[in-house]
Amino acid sequence: MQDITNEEIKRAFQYIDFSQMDKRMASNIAYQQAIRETYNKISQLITTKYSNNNPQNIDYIVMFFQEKEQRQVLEDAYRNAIERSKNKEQVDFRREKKNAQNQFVKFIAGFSAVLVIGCGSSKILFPMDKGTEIEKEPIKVEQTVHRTSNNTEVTFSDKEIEKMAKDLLELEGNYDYDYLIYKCFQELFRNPLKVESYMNTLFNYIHQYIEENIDGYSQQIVAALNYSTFNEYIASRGFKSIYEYRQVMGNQNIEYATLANESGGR
Amino acid sequence: MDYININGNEYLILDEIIINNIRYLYLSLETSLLNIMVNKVINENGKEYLSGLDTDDEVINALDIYFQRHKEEIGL
Repeated sequence: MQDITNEEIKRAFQYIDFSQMDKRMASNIAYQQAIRETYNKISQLITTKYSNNNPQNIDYIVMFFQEKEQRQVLEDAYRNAIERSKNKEQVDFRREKKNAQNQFVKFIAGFSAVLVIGCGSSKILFPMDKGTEIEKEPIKVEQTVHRTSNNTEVTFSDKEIEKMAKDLLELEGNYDYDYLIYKCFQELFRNPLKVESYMNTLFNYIHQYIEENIDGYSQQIVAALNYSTFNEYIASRGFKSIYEYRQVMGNQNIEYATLANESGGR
Repeated sequence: MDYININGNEYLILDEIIINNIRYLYLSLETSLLNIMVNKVINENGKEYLSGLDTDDEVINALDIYFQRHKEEIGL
């Protein structure tokens, strides 16, 4: 069993010292996720050290220290991108077309590996040096290429969000409304910059419809959904921020999907 | 695949995203991984030019949106 020294704990805390962190980097979503994950792991580290030594936890903590180096890679990738992208003179350029899917796949694979590690995700990593394995999946490549050539900002109109609210309220039967709200959140998160505003609009409509005909809805719906804003709703569920909501519900959603698959896709 | 040629150097166009009516190009030298660069497209007299971004925040914001857009491929 490997021991964790006090020095390592101290270094780990230094690593997440927000006062030392570049505030601009702190605003980055991926970086925030990495920090949050790091913080959770450190909490676990402290618990392990000062309570009973659990071998499984020790493995987890050792893995965390190994990942720390890779988190640095993520931060460096952002810093380098800033250096390369800023304050450059205006230049002429020419577009060209080439058959270079392999290079692109390798790039995505490489960057994916860093980001996935950097964000502390437990999902499968793409191997950086095993391009041939990924190249066996031509559909994935085609999707990627397609998406790169069709980018406009995704927006949702009030009418679309109102319809979403109506559909939600018109469902018959027993539903996990928190799960359904999260599915709405996922859809509206296609525009991450406006998702909060969209969710507030959604709850506005829900609240309006319920208040107009409160006797027409089941107690379950009223209890679950009658909030005038999204922030009120997530606060009622004990979440301190939309970030926390997304993270926790995202994990639950994965578990939910797994259970659904295990029980035959119901 | 789309490339652009800047002063004789070829960059792979990873993506092209419009944010606040500004068209951003996400570029990479194909010979090297993890070297993403963001430029914006400026239109002058009907001709397109590439320009660097003005602030760190603008780069970070542009990268955030890129990663959100590609989160499924990336696995976030």
